[in-house]
Amino acid sequence: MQSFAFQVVLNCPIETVFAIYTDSERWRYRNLFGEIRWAKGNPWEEGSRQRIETTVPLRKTVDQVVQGVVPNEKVTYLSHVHGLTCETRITFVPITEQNSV
Amino acid sequence: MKLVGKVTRSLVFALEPIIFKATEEFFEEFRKDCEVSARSGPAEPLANKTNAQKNQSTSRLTLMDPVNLRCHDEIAESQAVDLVRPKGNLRLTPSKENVRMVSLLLRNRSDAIHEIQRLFEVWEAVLAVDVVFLGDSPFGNEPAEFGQFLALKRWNAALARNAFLVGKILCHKLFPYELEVAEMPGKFAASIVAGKQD
Repeated sequence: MQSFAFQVVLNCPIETVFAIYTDSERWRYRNLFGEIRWAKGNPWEEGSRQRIETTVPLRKTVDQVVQGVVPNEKVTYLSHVHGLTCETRITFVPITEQNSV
Repeated sequence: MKLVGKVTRSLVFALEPIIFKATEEFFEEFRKDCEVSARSGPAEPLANKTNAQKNQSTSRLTLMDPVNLRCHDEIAESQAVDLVRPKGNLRLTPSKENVRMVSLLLRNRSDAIHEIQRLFEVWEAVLAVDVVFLGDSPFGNEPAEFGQFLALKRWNAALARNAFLVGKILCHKLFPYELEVAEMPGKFAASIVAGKQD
């Protein structure tokens, strides 16, 4: 099983970061994406399905299933593409003096 | 199943850098959006905004709360790769596409189909219509074979002028003196074949 991790530090309120990330409308027809729509269920609810059309580097339709959402804390979903399953876990951690590097 | 597994693993290795790069680009865009929103105020879903509001940029600074955003992606082999499934090959005939596994004792009878097909191949009849004029002979024979092929064409019969078959004469008794024909001198017989009746 392959895996990789990203870590980005942002100077932004955590509510804003979460709102931007979960705003599907914002990402439609941007550089990387084409059409984005919710195929099943309400947006960002457990079990909801989202169809994302990617344009770069391959034009593919990714089927995403939301596994769990904790507002301002965590988003987990499964992506199905090319017969592969990719699990993505996004965690939003406010930087305090204790956890700052 | 081994083939599918190997292809899947190869695909994972091939796709990993692609997914990595795409994720990197996404987070770069995401970071820019967050920085712009941090300067312009609390983010509100764009769906709730009008176009004018979407384009509006303000220089109002808000309180900076640094956020450590972490993302972890794991790619797993879970399904058959689409590229090796029958539907991935557009040129398969229906009989090839509908191949299924035979389970239990019936699997021992699966080769009977080929045995029946082989039986018909053994008893295949060779008919006169199957004869070909140009075979797989060496190229050196081609001109000679081509000449033979043309000799069978009716429209080339004019080249022989008034030639006719001696057998026709003998069988149909065109000549009343059939016995004399047998005793003809060699020269006369040869001239008949050549079409010159002296």
